[in-house]
Amino acid sequence: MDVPDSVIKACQEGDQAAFEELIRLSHASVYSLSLRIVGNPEDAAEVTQDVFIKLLRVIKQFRGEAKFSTWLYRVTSNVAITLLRRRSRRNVEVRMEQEDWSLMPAADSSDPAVAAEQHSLKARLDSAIASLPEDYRTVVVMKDVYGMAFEEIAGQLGIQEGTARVRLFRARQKLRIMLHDELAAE
Amino acid sequence: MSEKADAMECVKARELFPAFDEQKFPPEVLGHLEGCEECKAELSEFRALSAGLGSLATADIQPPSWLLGAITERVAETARRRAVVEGARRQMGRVTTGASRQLGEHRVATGSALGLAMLAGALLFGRTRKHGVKAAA
Ligand SMILES: [Zn+2]
Repeated sequence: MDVPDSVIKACQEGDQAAFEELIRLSHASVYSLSLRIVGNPEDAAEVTQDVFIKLLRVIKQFRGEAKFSTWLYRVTSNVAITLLRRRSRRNVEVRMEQEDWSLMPAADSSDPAVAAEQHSLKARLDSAIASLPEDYRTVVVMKDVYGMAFEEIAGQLGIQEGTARVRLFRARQKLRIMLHDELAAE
Repeated sequence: MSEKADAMECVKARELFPAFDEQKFPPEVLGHLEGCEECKAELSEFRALSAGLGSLATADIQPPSWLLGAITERVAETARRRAVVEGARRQMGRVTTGASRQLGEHRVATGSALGLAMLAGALLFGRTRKHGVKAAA
């Protein structure tokens, strides 16, 4: 995600065209983090829309202390976690449906580039992350993929930092086992 | 060294791998790693996992093609509604201050608050209707 400072500043001044540019430049990154946290494309699309609605209201609060992407990822994970809570309260099981992932090309693809992508470690990693239990998935995505601090993660999830560390440890062990073949070939 | 002692050392070493923190490996684990191919191989898998996870942040997943339009539309609609509500608030603020001044001049005392509220309400209603947006917005 690469959003110029001038665009951010214009958004903060209420420039609607700049806000549309911001959406264009960052929606794929917001969607990607959302999908990695919530684990299914429908909810990720809902989270992404909610993030930008929220941004209309809170973008003035961005003061430039952190990178904009870091700040936007924090807003995104917050919205995504709120949705997970709402879902679990309604007792709806959120399942990952791998066949819906736009990243996953058709299995019988004859395009060599598509086939390579399908087998790439990144694609395999994303699908392995999606198959983790929600508690492990949220922590490993926030920490290992997006580099958030334990304090931030624990705060957003409403858990102790120690609990976050244990979940992270288990998530990494599970991923290593799931991806043994790919990782050994790296 | 006996096979059993080796196994113990392997278990001890491997417990540390998922922490992704080789700086903190004690000397005996580092020593063990030099001579144990299995542990070395497992450690390198964790290294590859760490690097792979870190590289995902810049690897966006393609959103569905309809999403960009949907976001832009919802944001524009929200911004429009907000502008109307804020405009109405400002209008009401002006009406209230103006009417207060007038009422003060004419020394109207009782019942003025109600009259003021009704006047503000009427203007607010007129304004929101003109913009074709429901009062609930
Ligand atoms: Zn060993």
